Amino acid sequence: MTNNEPQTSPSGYNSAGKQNVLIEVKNLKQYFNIRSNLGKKAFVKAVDNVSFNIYKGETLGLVGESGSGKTTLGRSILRIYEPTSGHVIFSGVDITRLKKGKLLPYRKKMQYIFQDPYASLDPRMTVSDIVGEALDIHNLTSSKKDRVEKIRELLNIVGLNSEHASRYPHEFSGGQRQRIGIARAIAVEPEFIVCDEPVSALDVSIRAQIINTLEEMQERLHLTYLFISHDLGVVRHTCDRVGVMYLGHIVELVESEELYRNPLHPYTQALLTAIPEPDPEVAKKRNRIILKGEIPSPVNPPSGCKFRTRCPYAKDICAKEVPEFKEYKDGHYVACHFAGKI
Amino acid sequence: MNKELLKINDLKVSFFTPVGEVQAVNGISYTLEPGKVLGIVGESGSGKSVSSYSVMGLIDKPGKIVGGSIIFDGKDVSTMTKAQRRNFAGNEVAMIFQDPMTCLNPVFTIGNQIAESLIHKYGKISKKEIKKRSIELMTLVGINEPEKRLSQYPHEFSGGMRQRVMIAMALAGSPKLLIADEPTTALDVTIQAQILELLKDIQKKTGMAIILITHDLGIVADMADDVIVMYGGKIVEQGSVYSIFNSPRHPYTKGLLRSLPDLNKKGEKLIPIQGNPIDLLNLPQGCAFAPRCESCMKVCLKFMPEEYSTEDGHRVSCWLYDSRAINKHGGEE
Repeated sequence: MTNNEPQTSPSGYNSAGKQNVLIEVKNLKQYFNIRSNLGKKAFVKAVDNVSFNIYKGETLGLVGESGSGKTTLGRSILRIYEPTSGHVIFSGVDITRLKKGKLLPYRKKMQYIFQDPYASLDPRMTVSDIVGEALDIHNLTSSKKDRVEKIRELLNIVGLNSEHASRYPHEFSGGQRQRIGIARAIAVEPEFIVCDEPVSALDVSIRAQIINTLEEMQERLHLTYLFISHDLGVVRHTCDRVGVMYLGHIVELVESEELYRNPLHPYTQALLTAIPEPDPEVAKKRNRIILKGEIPSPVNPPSGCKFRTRCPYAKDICAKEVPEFKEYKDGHYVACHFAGKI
Repeated sequence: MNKELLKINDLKVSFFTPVGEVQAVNGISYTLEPGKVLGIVGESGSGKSVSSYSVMGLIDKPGKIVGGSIIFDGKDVSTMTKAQRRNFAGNEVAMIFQDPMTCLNPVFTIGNQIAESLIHKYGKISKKEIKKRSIELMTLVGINEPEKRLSQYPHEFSGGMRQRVMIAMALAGSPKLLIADEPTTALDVTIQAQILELLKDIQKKTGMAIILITHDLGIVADMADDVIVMYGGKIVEQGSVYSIFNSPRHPYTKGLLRSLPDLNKKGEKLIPIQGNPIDLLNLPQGCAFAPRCESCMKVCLKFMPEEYSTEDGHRVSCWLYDSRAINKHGGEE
């Protein structure tokens, strides 16, 4: 599976031709122990044997329904969860088995922006403490004055005022809180940020502001993003490549323009027609592919292709064999027995 | 049949909180014809939910309807007695909510809860009849094995299925109007597509009117015949879905539509609406949107704009459309 991942990508935004791999995810598995009804041990296979590369400077989107494992995957990569098996290789170093002290420098390189700007900020800490905490852990300030100066600079970068530093989270609106979260993430000068649904909790009129801020940060600080979202409109705008997840598997991975133009997996096709289109002429006329039923339980996933229970094209082979995740054509990966034929 | 199913005239709803009066709905007027789908869009705090809750009589203390009238099918809702209202809500107007889990009682079976709606509508009704009708309703909303499912509890249903149950309960009273408050916001996009398709289908079969409250412009474009855009407790713009999306007039609507990620503009920066959402405790003196508006004039900060009608039946509350305004098109396009 991993060997199929190309060293070059057609997205071509890195003019050097060959793209540098920042993170290599190899056969990553993240299982969670649960007890089944009969007291027997059972697993939720939240992420099941996933392999892909994240290139330096790109924004890789991850889309899928709730329960598809996209957040778990993001967290396993950062070792917020301890992966069950598999490897995450960050700039050539396997970080999956590093001990705490050895891991710390890599923690500084990888940060996380959370979905809920209300739950992810400690209500009893001021903004300067929230942002400064990261600086303290990694000893990034030389003096008290330097710390204040750094915090002020960070707040300005994300579009807040320096007088906001002494306030508490409840004094801010959702959009401003998300800016605090962004300031905290970039405080340690990371290379890689997992943005987990960064705009889902925000009002429509504020979303564009935050997306722009994230894009500005990326340009300015040469960041690489893993952008987790269920909003395919936002993903289409922000991401260079997009991976589609279903029940712990990546079922399709390709440059984002190509995904929207030529989706190969039936799940992707259905997802794309399900996006509400803000244009009445288009929205009222188009034919939606309405998927039947719901995402099955990850404790008891279907045999073979996990999507077959909802797939309009499912045949006998889909129940028997797991489709291989392979390259269909240049950089377009898909896991479907009938890729290109439907 | 009355030509106007619902007529709201200068409705004002306020919440009297310890820190002051919050004018959640500040003088809105609209009419809804039978069998139409009206989309109400706006962000949190725009008053879109509160305005519809007042139609159902769901405004509780510290909230109060402080002015205006709500006429439903010739009857004034705001002056109804408690008993009249009990008969009215559920049977003539029904409502479904964003979070179907909090709206279903976890300790009663689904069958029990649907039966409650049926008894509310028909009074004395035999058990056999209840079962027959419940199964019909469950089938109508697309729940498989309705007989078995009726004896199950809410936790045995997924989010999408719970929303279907909510819709079945709402339909039990065969209402003339269904108010759907963010019915798909808590659901995944594929399930959302299922529920929207179901609502369309049921609307075709029963001919009821729907008020669809949402923040998602895509859903409105898909479902609605007419659209109301709310900001800061006021209607800033209303018109047919085509005229709102094709020729938006109010700077807020324009800004919203422009801020959406567009397929054709990949790689370009999004054009956001500047500033922060308004604070309802400190409403500005003039137009509520003025502090964020890029076409803001002096008059906007002082005086509330009137409502102006345009030739395509579109109505907009903005000083730019006053005959005295010089820059009529808001300095863009």
